Amino acid sequence: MAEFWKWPEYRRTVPGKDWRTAAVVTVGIDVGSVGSKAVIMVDGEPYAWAVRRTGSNSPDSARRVLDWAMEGTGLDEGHIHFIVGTGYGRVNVPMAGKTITEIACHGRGANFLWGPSVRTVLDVGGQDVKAIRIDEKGKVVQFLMNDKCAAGTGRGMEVFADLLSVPIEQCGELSLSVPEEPPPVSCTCVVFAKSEAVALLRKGWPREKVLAAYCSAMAHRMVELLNKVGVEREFVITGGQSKNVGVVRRVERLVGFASLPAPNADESKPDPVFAGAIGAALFAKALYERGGK
Amino acid sequence: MISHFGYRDASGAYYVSVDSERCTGCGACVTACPQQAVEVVRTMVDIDERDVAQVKESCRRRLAEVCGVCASARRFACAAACVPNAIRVQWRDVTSE
Repeated sequence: MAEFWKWPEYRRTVPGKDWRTAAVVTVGIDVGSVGSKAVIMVDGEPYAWAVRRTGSNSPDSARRVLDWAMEGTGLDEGHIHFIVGTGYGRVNVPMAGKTITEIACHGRGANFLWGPSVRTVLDVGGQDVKAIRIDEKGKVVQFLMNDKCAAGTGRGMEVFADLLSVPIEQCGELSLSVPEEPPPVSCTCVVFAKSEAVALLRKGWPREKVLAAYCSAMAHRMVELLNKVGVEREFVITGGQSKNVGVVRRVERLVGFASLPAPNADESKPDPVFAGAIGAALFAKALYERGGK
Repeated sequence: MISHFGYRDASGAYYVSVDSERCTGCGACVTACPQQAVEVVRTMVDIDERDVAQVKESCRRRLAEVCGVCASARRFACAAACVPNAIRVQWRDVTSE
């Protein structure tokens, strides 16, 4: 049976950069509930990064994603000056010199990716959603996390991809193809949302309409969180669901303005899925320079 | 940094908010809370660590009931005990309005 929820893993090394000439090599490892990300930075600039699906064994996931990020670069762990672990599984990053909450890392990472004008970050992860307000330095001034359940998260989207037999990368786009926006599913819980979706399919709703109803429910939940901390421009979305245009467009509609597009057009920077790992690698550099080794 | 613990659902909005810039980590809120819902933990503030109050993880998803005792007394013990005014509670049950 095809596994529609399986999003692609990928890695990248920035061409023309050499870690051997760098003064400081730092790493951020963000072990999420669904994806594990590693970013290697040389002198505070992204050098190589990788994302893999988090397995059932967190320490192993951290190891595997770091190994993959280093692959082909000639780097090994002995060359790295400092590693910071973050994310849901941050306590399970055995090689980390320090662990830092993903809230702080996402704020710092968003500031790095998009610049000092970013004030609001919506991080949609595998099993929680965070609304974060930051200042011009990327420092968190306010945050709210919804960890009530998987509803409105990446994991919930995976369940829907499988249910509807739509590859997960296509779910967002497909959900936007509806001629008219259906009412959101009630979505208090993924299990209920799923049975609600089954009922809608039985009623003859096409897949895109069911997806639209689910994406819409996700967007409504996210905007509730955003309203609590207050949405101020510039506004950005990080985490796995930043790639889901079906959710992103609907959040923007409800908020009333657009989020900044992903800044990695030339692929010299990691995409917004890596925001937390980028922040962690930057904290690693700051800690190393302060003598935290 | 203000951390909001809590949620909004069909019944209302329930949040305990802690300002880490003001919180001294003294623990007066921990002693005052009749539900043992608050704790003081080492928290990253910038790249330093300090003791800051937070709502226990086990209580964050059920503040409607946990804070209901104080809500009906119209006095939130944690906030009342906090000398630097670092804790604010919003507890609004729309079904009883």
